[in-house]
Amino acid sequence: MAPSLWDGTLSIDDFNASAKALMTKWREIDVEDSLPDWTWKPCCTMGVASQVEGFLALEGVFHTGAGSQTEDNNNLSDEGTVEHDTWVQSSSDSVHVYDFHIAYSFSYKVPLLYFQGHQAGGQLLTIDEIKKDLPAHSLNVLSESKWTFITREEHPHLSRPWFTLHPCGTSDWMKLLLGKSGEKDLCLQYLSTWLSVVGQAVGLKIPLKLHCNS
Amino acid sequence: MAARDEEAEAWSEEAARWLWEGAVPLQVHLHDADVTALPPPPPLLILGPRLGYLPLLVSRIRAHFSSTLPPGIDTVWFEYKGLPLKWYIPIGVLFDLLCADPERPWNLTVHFRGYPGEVLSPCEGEDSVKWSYNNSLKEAAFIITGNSKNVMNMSQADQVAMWESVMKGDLDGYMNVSTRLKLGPFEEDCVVRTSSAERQQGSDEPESPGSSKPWSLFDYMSAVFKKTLSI
Repeated sequence: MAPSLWDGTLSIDDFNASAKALMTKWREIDVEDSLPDWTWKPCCTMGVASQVEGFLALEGVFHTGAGSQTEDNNNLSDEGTVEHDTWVQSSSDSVHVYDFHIAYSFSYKVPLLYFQGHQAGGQLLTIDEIKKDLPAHSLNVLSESKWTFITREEHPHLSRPWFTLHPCGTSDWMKLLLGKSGEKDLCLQYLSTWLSVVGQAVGLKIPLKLHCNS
Repeated sequence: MAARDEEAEAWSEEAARWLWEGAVPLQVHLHDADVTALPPPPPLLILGPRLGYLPLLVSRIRAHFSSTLPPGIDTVWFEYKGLPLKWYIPIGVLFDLLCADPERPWNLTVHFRGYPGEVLSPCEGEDSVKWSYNNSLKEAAFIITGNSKNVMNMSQADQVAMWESVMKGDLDGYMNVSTRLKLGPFEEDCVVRTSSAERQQGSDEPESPGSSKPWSLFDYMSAVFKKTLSI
């Protein structure tokens, strides 16, 4: 594959190889305590795990809120009664847990990011609640870039609706980012490069060391 | 080869007409929990176009059940024998997949409350269906031509005309717009890509028609059908 003719996409085999490279590199570098390791989840058909198809999963990413909510007594002083159980929010309510999955799109031949968040009690977060967790930078990326917008679609392997970043345009900006790399580097670096961009849109902090050549 | 191409094209159009003009007879029952007046209303008998979508039938269904619906905001969803139905899948496909033994009419239950958000992606009526349809069209264009430009560059008038033709089941109107998108009929150089077919030439794979010649979709489907029917 001549790099200059490369169209920004990758095959399923290259995706799998790039996934292995990402998992290895991630484990090697000193990742922040709050970030778990990526694991590979093979797809199962009729109880048999596939040798080829699967997806990357980063699960249990904790996000603590900007500060736990405090009792709001201002509105109640006139009424005279204070109902503590309706106004107090425990600090555990502001801990959100996120899962990120990277799957391969056969249609677009690029990776796809799927994500969802839960409250500590297990309830799924809405898109508005997720956006509240995102740093301002991410919100800018989402609103300004024509290439990154969030939709709710069925997860290709789990048959449930997850949030996803729309894949159109991925091959265009990947070609811009990696177009000048050597052929060998291209395949293995694909996912970490891709992740550094999409991670910004969803507030996932990607360690800089991931991009250093060892 | 030219005669075979013409034959393929003729079959293609006849098959398309059958699909576009086909409909599934539906008997839509209102879910018990949504019935607020007795006696409970009779189910609605309505035709579901094979290439249509369930949310597009909601206005007629709602009108039929309006006197007995609970007050408040509706979140409409359909279910067959307890299975919530994916609204972005055409009615004909749902029927063929779920009813191995065709039920006529097909008995569905409609709900106006309690949308199963953890199982079904959200649907806000016609707009959601239109968005999903256009998205699928872009994806199809990407697979066939390698980019979605022809769909993204459609004029506003064309987009409206195409969606109208889907809603009305108007094949001629649809073909008027779709032929200009140049998505088909499939040419010889349109290669069929599947996940495992690329790598494995197992015993399940049909024989290749020629040495290095890529397959057309027609070749592939013919081979698969022949194998299934043991011709």
